[in-house]
Amino acid sequence: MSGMYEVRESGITYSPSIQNQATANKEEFIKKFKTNFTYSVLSHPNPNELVFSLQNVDVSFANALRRIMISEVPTVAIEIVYIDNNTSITHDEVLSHRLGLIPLDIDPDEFEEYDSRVTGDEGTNDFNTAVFKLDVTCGSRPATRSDLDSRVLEVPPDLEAVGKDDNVALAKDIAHKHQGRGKSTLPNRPHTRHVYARDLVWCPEGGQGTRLKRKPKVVHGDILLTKLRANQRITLTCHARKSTGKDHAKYSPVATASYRMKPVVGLRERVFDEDADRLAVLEPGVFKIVPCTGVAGKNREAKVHNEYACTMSRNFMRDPVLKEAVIISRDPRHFIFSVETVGMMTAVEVLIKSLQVLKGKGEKLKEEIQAVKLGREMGESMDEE
Amino acid sequence: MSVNTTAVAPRPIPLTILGNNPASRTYRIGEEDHSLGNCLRNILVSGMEEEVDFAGYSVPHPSEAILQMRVQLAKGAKCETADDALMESCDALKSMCDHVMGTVKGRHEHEVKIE
Repeated sequence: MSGMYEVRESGITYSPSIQNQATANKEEFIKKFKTNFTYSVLSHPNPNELVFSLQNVDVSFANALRRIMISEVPTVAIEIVYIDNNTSITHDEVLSHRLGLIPLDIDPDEFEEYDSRVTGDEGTNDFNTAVFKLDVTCGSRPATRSDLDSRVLEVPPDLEAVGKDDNVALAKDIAHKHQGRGKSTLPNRPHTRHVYARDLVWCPEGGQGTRLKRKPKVVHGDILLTKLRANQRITLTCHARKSTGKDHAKYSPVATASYRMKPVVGLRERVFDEDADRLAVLEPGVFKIVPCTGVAGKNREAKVHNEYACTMSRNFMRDPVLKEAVIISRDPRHFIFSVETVGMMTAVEVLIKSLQVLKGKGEKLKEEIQAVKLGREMGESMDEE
Repeated sequence: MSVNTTAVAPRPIPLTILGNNPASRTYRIGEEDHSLGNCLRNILVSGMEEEVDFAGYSVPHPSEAILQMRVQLAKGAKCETADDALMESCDALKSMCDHVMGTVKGRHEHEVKIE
């Protein structure tokens, strides 16, 4: 054990462990880490969501992983937009910004980072840039039934791929409603053209057609970019580049990556009957009411059932009986991570990449120190001569 | 039009080692922040107790991507210099990451395609 954070009526108190946790040297430290470390998956409903726990790690390590997942795992996003024609109501800069935020399904490992120290477009090549084109026009004729069918009634294939039944059902439901209500409520009314992310067309440059194993495309095809009125047109070319969340939030592969310390709930004394019922209401899901045996005049009592459900609410502390009986605290070496990705990478990939980045940081520093040491030694030997 | 107008990237900040005493030094590390600083600090302080007397870090100003790390060796340390201690902590961090990565990959064997 390594101390506990106890939640009290006012504030939190930390009681450090009596034992010394420190290890003497690097070897012992690694050995201890390897023996104690535990990884477990708590929830993994789809590839993009992952709730997992890390046990017996330090906050610094957990926080580094969280920080790196948010801002230092590289992804590819639209960075430069060349607008040839835009007669829509959306301004060039607003449209460009919207394009930048579209998550792209591109494997970042297949690209290099663009070095902005190379000025202008001279540094652009097929290893650091993916090109997308958008060319949409709203015709002056009223939309035909077939236009509408292809735009609205189709369930986007990427939605099916995610395998989230809810989404598919929702899309089908919306499509069905539009079909029923007639033309006036259709999203693609006559003389109105909706521009979706799926209208972006990837144009292979150089050897990209054969080199890239994953064909670049948008993650969610049904992102509405803008709407066009009759005879309006947008023609543009986008350059997608690789970078990290540090540069711009659009490069962040995660929607949320957060952690909390595991709640630890205990009973100082047994809680019976009405008190137990109140407790079950005040801390929903945490306690289970079980039949009580062995105590005269008591029928049931509360037992800790699921600590993970504890929200750290201090409501029960307003009750004089429960206040004395229940203790809530947090384990500072047990982290419950919750990672939800935007879709360009799976949650497990993001976690592994973040570990690779952290490892790389250590390796880079070591190399730099060695280089400085080497330089210093060479300087000294020069002096001797 | 650029979505995210970026100026020419700043030059990389080279590592500088400050201090004359080889056993206690300050490292000025460019393009790093709390992610690396706090991890190494923790390994030095609580993982290498017999080697290191003191280790601390700071990010002097948020607008400058600089991490300052201070390492002071303990008496009777096996490491000859503070450089060695810091490099050992980097190794330890690498081992930690490798171990966690191995565990995670093992657990998600069927869905991970990363080499």
